Amino acid sequence: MSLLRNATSGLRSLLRKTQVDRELNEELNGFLEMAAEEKIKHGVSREDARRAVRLEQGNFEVTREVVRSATWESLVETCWQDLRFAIRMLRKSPEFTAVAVLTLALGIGANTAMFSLVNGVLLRPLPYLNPDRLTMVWEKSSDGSAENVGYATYLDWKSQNKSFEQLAIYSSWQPVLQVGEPEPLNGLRVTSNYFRTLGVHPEIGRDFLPEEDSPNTNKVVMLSHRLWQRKFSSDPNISGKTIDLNATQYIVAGVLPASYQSLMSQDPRGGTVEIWRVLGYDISQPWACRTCHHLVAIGRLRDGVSITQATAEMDIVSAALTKAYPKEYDDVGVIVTPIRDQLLGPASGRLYILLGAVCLVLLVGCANLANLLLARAASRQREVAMRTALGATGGRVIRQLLVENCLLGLLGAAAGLFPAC
Amino acid sequence: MLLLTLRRKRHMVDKPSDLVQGTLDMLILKTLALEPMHGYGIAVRLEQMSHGVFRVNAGSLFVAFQRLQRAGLIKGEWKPTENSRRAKYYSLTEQGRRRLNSETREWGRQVAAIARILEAS
Repeated sequence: MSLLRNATSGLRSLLRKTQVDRELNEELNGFLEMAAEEKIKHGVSREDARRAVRLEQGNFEVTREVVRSATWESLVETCWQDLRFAIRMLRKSPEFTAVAVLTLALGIGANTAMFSLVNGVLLRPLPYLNPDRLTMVWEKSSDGSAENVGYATYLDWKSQNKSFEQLAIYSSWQPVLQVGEPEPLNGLRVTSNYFRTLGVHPEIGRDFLPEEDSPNTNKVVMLSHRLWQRKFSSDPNISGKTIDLNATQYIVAGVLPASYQSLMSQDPRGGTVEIWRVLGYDISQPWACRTCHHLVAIGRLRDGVSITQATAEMDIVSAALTKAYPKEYDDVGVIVTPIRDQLLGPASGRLYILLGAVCLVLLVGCANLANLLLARAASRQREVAMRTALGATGGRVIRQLLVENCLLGLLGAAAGLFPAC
Repeated sequence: MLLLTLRRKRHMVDKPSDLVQGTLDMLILKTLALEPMHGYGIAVRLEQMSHGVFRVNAGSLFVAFQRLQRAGLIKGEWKPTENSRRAKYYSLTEQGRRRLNSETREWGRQVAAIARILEAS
């Protein structure tokens, strides 16, 4: 309660400063006058009485300052004074201010821009469940490069490995959606366990069923949240309805959550994937052969299995396949890469180096600025000496200089927004 | 923090050294318990009642008024004095009266305790 009263009366004296000051003046003056009158009653002359009171009570101005500075709002007031003074000082030496602000702006701006990039690309978690367990699995061709897999190979990998909890494959798919204006979409054909592998659950409807993953069943699709909003006006009962794609009827199984962004895209234009259909391959189909390298495999490692262990096991599985089908395989093993590395490529290391470099740029800028300020401080020694002589305490001088430098820093940061954008 | 300690030091210099720290507020409350008074009146009354032992200067006195007012223990009102001058008269609030009672009790307890310790030989 008294805290509130303290705050309100402090605010009052801040807002109605002149009145509060006048009252304090009148009160103190009255005090001194009354003290003097008391002495005059005892036969002292008016002049002598005043002098005596002054001797007893000390300097009137000092007393007033003591009373005023005892409150919290006096701190606000002096800070405000310091701020105005700092602005005047900076305006008085525009070259210095410009150099300092520019140095800071470039350093801070470059850092901010770089950090936003690193944060967006490297630090933000991937939109999958336990992304560190997700890996890409490739055939290793004889020259050591990574190669897509054929459907038959995938089936053998899936049935023979023990390292992966789930192993799924996908290939790109570009259907034309015939809802309203026909629109070509960026899509994927995926095995029915694809979303289970990623750890994503549909927001509406259901996941693909294993029995749907064969050539002669209903064709089912999954929609992205954006496509569902854009083309189907967020129809809550979309699940189970049929839609037209490439002049074929597809049944909508479900809609993925808005938080899910597909990072797998083979579209060179880099568009986001908005629709998924079941792969629906059969081993009898000609395009399901072992040499038909057009599918990308993605696996979720079992708990406790490392990438090295998984690679070793898959190498054994692959060696057995090469032995069994020597004509179809010329590869020498399997490559397992963490999904993060796959998505970012070799860029991550370079990004960190760049971030380090811009940090150093800021450090160099700060060192330069410190030198500038030191040089300036040397030329301001007289000013500080004068203030101290006039009664400024060490803390008061430090505060004034601190406010000035904070202002400089803030200006630099504000200007840093421009290069950062 | 530095500032706070600096400021506190300055106050201590202002306060008369013979006044036990923290008792000024209680003495002001006690003075006002009889009737509303202006600043000078309070100073004079304090000096008289203590037979000249306590001489409080205007600085500490007005800082104390400000503090007590903000704590809601006293309130000030501008009124004409007997010499047809305008002065701010301070008076106890209900809360101030309660605080005076409790502080007087506490003070008595402490003084008695200190006396017991000093008298023990």
